[in-house]
Parts: sequence; C-alpha cells; structure tokens
Amino acid sequence: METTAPVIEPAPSDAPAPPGAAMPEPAALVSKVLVIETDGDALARIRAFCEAHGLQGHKVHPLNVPAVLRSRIDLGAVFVGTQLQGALSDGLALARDIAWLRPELPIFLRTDGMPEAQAGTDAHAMPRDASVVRYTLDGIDALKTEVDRKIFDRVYPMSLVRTLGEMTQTALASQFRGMQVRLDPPYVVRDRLIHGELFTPIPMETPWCRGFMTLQTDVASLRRVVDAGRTAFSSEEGEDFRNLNAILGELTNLIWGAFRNRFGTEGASGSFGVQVPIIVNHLHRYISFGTESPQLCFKCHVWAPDDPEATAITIYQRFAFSLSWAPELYRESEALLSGFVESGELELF
Amino acid sequence: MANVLVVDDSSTVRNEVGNFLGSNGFQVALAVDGHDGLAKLRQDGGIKLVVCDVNMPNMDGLTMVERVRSELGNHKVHVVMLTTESSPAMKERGKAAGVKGWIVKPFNGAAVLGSFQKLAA
Repeated sequence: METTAPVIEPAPSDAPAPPGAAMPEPAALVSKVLVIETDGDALARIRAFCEAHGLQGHKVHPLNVPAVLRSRIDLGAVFVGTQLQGALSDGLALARDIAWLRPELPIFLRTDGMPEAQAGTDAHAMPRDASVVRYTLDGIDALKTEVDRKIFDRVYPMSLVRTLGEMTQTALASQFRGMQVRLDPPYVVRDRLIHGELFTPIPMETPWCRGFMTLQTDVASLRRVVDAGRTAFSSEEGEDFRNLNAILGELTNLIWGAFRNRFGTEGASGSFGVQVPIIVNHLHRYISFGTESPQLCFKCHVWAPDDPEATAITIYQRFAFSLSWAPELYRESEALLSGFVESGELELF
Repeated sequence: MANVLVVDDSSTVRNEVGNFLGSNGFQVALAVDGHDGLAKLRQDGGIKLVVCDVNMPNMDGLTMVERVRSELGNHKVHVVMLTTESSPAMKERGKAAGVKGWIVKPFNGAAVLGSFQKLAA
C-alpha cells in the first residue's frame, strides 16, 4: 500500500517556548499498522484513511494474526473489524487477544453492525491498560485525532530526524568495511519489541531531550559479517560473543558521541535528573523505558555489494526520549559546529 | 617492550588501532581503561606514544593523563586522545594535562600514520 506521509501537527508541550523561539519544522513520519478486515468496503475506506494520515497499512488475514504478531513487525496500532467473515469471525474476541498479547498497541475497533449492548460490555474482557478506540466507517475521519494522540503525539523536528539518520549512516559506514548502508524512512512505533539477541541502550541527553537510544540486531547476521572480514575482528575472534558485543557497542558509542558533539550537553540536567527503571523481559523480547510514548525508529540495512544475500545485517535503531522532550528548545550546537574538525584527522595542540 | 600503548574499553577499537599500528611496525601494548593504562605505563618505560579514549569505565582517559603526569612524573610520553568527544572544554582539559593531539572517532589510520611515527620515534 502506498502512503502519503503527513506533516505532523505540533503537539502541546508542558514547557513554554521562550520568547521569539520558533517551532522547528516537524518531520514527516510514518507508522505501520495492522489491518484485520474482511469487508471490501471497509478495507477501501481504511486504506484511504491510512494514506491520508501517514499510516502504512498491512492487511492480514484473521487466522494469520498470531503469526504476524510473532514475526515482530514494528507496529503503531491495529485496526480490527468486529464482524469478520470466515473461520474466525469474532473480531471482538480477536481484538481482546491482541490487547492481552500487546497491550501497548492502540486498537481501533470498527463496530459497524455490532449490537449496542455488546459494544458496551466488551471492555470488561480487555486488559485494564488496553487502549481501544471504537469507530464506525461513517465516522472514520474523526479517528485522525486519536491517531495523532496515540501514534504521532510527538513533534520530531525535521532537521533533527535528518541529522540522526546522517550520523547513523556515517557510523555504520565506518565500522563495516566495504559495505553499503541504507536507512528506511524513519517511523514511529508503540511496540516495545527487542529485535534479535543483541541490543545496546545508552542515555542521550541535551537541554531539550533526555532518554535513550538503542541499537538492536541479531547475532547470526553479525557473525556472518565478521566471518566475511568486514569488521575489525577476524573470523576466529568472532567466535567470542564479546567481540560481537563490542562491534555494536562501538557503533553505539560513535552515534552517541556524534549526537553530543552536534547538539551539545550544556544545560542538560546531568546525572541528578529524574530516572525511571528500564524493564527488560527476555521471555517476551520486551523492553520498556517507562513511557507510553511512541519511539522514533530507523531500520538500517548494511550489505556487501558482492554478496548481498549472505553478508548483510539489519540494525534497528530506536530513540525513546522518555524522560524529557521539548522540541521547541531544539537547536544544533552552533559553537561546536563552528569548531568542526573532520573525524579521523589528528588535531595537534 | 612496546613503544605505543592503545587504551580503549572497546575491543573493536583496540583491535582496529592495535592491528593497524602493529602492521606498520609499531610495538603495541593494549589497555582496557585508564587504570590499566596507568599500570602499563608504570611497568613499561619504553612507551613513547599513548593513543587513548576519553570515555571509559573505572578511570577516564583525561584523568589517566593527569595521573601519568602527576603520579608517575612522566612528562615525556606523547598522548593523543582518540574519542567521540570534540567539545572545546574537553580539549582544553586535555591541553592542560599535556595531551599532544586529538582525534575524533572513527579512526582513520592512513590519516595519522605519519604523525604517529614521528611521535613514537
């Protein structure tokens, strides 16, 4: 399904903008949503809605929902019709299952044809934290407010998103010899999934943000890249998982450093600022930074041009500005940029 | 006896820089943090050049340099910082501690080989 990415309306902020400060231009982001419908008319209307509002709709057959959820696609929300056709016709029961499985995902529940009494009682079976929004096709346009509130609830300045992508691409290119790097368009997710077995959270802090970045990837792909001689380690050294860890660790360090150099740390609250526990559940490949807010994500593809099938790795990068977010204060560090030194060159004192 | 010490908590960087310098005729010793670096410098008086990260656990690189000068009384060894940091304040602290040069990661061996050879001579 093709999408048209919208410009996100600025969201209200707790912190007042300083006099004369202009809100930076917001980035156009997208988010993937699962669409579980069997009605052709409903599908067409939902498709049009998604295209108009920055959602990448992925239609899935009701019977395939568990497999799709297990495949760990990054999602922003789920659209479910209560009246489905086929072997699994009870959309409401399916919505309940999804809500129990992934309570962090908002569910947009289409209730056309559903008896009024049933629509009123379904909440009892839902998890307490489930976020369910009921709608009908006639009122689908009103869902935009809910989509903005639950998925695109944060303004990410366009130049910030562009810069994050650039510094990530530079770091990746420096660590994987002779490999190509491509980033998918940035997107936002409400999922809290961990991709692969290896991930590296690191705090990110500026005067306008506090939170974490993670890089996530799978060990088998990384091992193949090492075996192909594309990293600082030999194939034998790649047998030590700590060296694989170190590759992702150094990548994380490079991006973290570039972020600090670009945006500065002056005025950041430092180690005495508020913290919340980071919760990791390995059984469910789940990580929470303690916030309901969607995360900004980049999916990075790195591959060897001469062997793109076997020597390739996907790295998921997520930014969870979970502790503070004030985009109206966002700025690049002009002082640091004016003293810019090309990386890799020796500056003698 | 080594003539270059590479101090970095990342084994990726130790490998990359150590292998590059080793293949270009340097005798390389490795250390995993500032504490380790200080101990290696205490043990080996032949080290002429230290390539050192800033952000490391246990003891950061700039603290290590300050202690090399103050505790070991070693004012001859050349220290080049190899780091993601590029803030003027950090560099000023490095200069005050007697740091000779500053490289912002990622490491580009070809760009610095000539300078390293002079500093380690």
